[in-house]
Amino acid sequence: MIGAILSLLIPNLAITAGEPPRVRYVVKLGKTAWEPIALPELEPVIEAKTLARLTKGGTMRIEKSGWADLATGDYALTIEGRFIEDAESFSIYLGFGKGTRDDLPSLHVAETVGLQKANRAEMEKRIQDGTTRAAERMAELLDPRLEAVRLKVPQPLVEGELTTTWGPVDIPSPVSPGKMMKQLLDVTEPDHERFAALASVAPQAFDQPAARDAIIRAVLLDPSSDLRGRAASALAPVARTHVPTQRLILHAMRNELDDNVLGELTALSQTFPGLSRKEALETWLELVSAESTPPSSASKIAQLLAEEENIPNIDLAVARCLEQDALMYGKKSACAQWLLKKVPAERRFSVVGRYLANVRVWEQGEINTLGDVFDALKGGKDGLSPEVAAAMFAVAERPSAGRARRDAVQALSDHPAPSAALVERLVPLLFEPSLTSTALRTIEEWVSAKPELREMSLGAIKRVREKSTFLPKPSHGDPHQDMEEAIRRLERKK
Amino acid sequence: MLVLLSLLLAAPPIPSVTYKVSATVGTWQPLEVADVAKTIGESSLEVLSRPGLMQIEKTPGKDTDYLVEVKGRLLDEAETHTIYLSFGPNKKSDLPSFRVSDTVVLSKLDRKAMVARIAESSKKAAAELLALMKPQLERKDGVAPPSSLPEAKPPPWKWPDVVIPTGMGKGGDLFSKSSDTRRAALRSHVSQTRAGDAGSRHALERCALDHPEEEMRLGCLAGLKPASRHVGTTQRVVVDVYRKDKADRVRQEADEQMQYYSGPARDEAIQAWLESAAQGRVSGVVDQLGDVPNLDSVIRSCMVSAGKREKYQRNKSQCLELLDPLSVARRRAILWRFLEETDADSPYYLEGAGEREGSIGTDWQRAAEAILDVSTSWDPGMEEILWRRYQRALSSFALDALAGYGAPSDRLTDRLLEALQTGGDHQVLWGLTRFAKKDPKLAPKIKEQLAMMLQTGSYPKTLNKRSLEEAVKKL
Repeated sequence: MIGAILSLLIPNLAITAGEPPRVRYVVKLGKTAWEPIALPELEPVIEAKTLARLTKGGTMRIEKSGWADLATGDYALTIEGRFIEDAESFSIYLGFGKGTRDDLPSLHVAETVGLQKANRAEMEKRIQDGTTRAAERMAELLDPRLEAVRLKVPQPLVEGELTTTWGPVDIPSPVSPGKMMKQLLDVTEPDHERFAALASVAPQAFDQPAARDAIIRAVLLDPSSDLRGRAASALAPVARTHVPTQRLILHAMRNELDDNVLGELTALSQTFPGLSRKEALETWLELVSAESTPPSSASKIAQLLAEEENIPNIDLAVARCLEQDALMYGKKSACAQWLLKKVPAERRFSVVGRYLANVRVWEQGEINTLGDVFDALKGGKDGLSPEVAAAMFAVAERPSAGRARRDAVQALSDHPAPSAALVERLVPLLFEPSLTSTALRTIEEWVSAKPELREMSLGAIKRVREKSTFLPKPSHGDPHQDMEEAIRRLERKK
Repeated sequence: MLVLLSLLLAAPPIPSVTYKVSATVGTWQPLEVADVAKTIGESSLEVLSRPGLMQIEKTPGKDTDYLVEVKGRLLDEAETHTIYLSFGPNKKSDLPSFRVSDTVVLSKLDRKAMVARIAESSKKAAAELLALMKPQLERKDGVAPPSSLPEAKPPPWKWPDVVIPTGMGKGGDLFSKSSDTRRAALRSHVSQTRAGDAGSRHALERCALDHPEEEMRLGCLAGLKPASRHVGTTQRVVVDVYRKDKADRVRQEADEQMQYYSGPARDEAIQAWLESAAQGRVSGVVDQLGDVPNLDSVIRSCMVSAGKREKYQRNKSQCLELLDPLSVARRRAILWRFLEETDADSPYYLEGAGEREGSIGTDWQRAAEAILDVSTSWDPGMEEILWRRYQRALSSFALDALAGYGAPSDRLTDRLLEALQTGGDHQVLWGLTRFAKKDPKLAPKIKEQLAMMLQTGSYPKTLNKRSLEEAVKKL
């Protein structure tokens, strides 16, 4: 079905379909203190539900595996899950990554379902439904990509969808709170009173659940950002190992807008191990790409992510970040500057393709972002890839692209296959005073790479010189003068 | 028959327009999103297509001249529907963009009545958009004449009334006479709002809009920050604060929050920024928007508003910076009236600094350059404006522009020779030698006049004698 759609979209493509890729998978449920259903009973249910959906499209050949030989297939799939005590919920995590092949992005999907007040049968049903939803999202991401691999066609452009459903979060209330805990949580008290209470409660956070709950509540709800930040750092001892606290810290991160508090929370999340680390990475990606995150925090988190290897969902996050609506200065530069280069070069165009199709550049922040994107797309010795070159042409020809047009014309000087038809396509841009000089330089580069284009380029420039009228600009150069000089240089190459 | 044929041949091609429809809903969903999209799409199309001014293309991705976007938004709590209609560039960007909106209340209506009201509102908005687009689409010459931009009018944008549900939450009295009580209530409502309590959020919204004390309005607005990232009604409140509050600090906070908006809320924020710019208060964010709907009339209104201020506060540079994405025809349509104005007391007058312009840059210089820098041919009308400005104010930039950009002609040569003899400007001497090189017919006249000035010594001594001698020698 997907193959048929792709062949319709690319009608002249000689599709040499191969076998669906081999995907080896493991299933692993994490042990926790609260296990209302025995893990050996739950594991086959989750495995069956996941595979039923993932194999439905016929895009993969699936093989069960252990951890040791997981990477011996074309790709690897992990199916993991765990119960979360206190919150009384279950989380399912599906991960897709490289095996012997490394040409697809790593993807991670997570779904959390609440199990409060449910009997065993109801719990199992909720877990099954959650697993199916997660598998559905993974299949939507994987099917077109795996089919493109089988058909040996370019990967589809990445859409920046979110892949994790965090589930409901209950903010804990301390049971039988002491006087100082009450004072900490009574926001009608002046700030200095609550700070004093926090100093008194903080040392008890590690071993007293009520103190821990009071502090996490303050992190989430206190009106003072200074106090929220101080409360966050008080959670450091317990955050290393206590999964429900880790969950709440990640929830606080997704809802916090203050740079300092986000900094404290991010530092805590760096210490999370195991599946919580996966959740922390996903939260970081979500924050980097979210419209609501302040630019400074987004930049710091992007730098942390840039230190990681093989980050799942990075393609989706960068695409989402570049396409965001927020106008705050520097919002997109975090992902363009730090994260885009973490995406392997051969996948970068599928990540930025949609951004380039709509980019409008009128101010310095967007100019910087575009510069980083163009840098990341630069080809090696072979120049731009054909699809990047086509996208650059589209940007150069679109007036609403604003100042991106000149950069695109300049980047086209690295075109992989300059031709007479491309020179003809560039000629209309010579009539636009702001593009004349750059377009001339690009044509000259093409002639240097392909001398047989010299005669027709010379003719085209002479035609434009005859037909065009420009005002000489005393301080901004003279397009006619530029054309005269380009003609002289090209004639010298005879 | 022949007449008909010739008329057909002379008629400009009908522009092609991509027609894009979308709708968004929040948690309040009295209608399916697909039904809303269908209703607004069909109702608007009925009105827009009636005069036959454009070829409408509904398939996305087609390479059309312009883009018409129809967006609908059902808003929670307020229980309203707002339609946003815009006309703007696609392949072509030679016409101004326009945006209109209309809001209707849907509370307590049955499904059928809701659909009817949304359709009626869509048709009303479409008629307004058509009235703005029609004169532009009917133009035959393809270039806006200098006077074609209509006189400044209020923007075609209907702001919905901001209605906040009653009830104050449990956080205490933000309007108490006691300062301590007010501040405690503020902390409490901010905390409750962080916990998702709608009552406290409404209390903060009311306070941000109506509190008599600036500090409290600012505190309440800052407390709404988390909600304003994603709650539609709060976003409307913040936009309303930006539009109406008189205090700079409060507007600045609202401005910052609005810069994080997406979707229809971002569209409303943009209209608020444009409305403010039209009043001469330009937010830093506007110049990154590019060619947005209503921009042309906003720039013009911005300049008029700035021109009505006290003499020393009439700077229009922020308005002029918004011209960047516009074509030369659209820049001319906006600026011509201002460039022509010679009465220094008129709001249309562009301030200049006469002989010092070259060193400091003035509104007058920026406005003239905004046209000259993107022009591909010399406009005799512009020559008259520049010469008049030089004559009246000894404008240094006017002279530089005539010498630097001007097309050689007998008349302009005479003017520059006069300016050289009375003002002694080196740029003018350079311009005259450029003229002589470009049009050899003018060379003898220029040479003769320069030689005469040398022989008689009748020229200001700001002009270097050696420069004059070299010019004569070259000619």
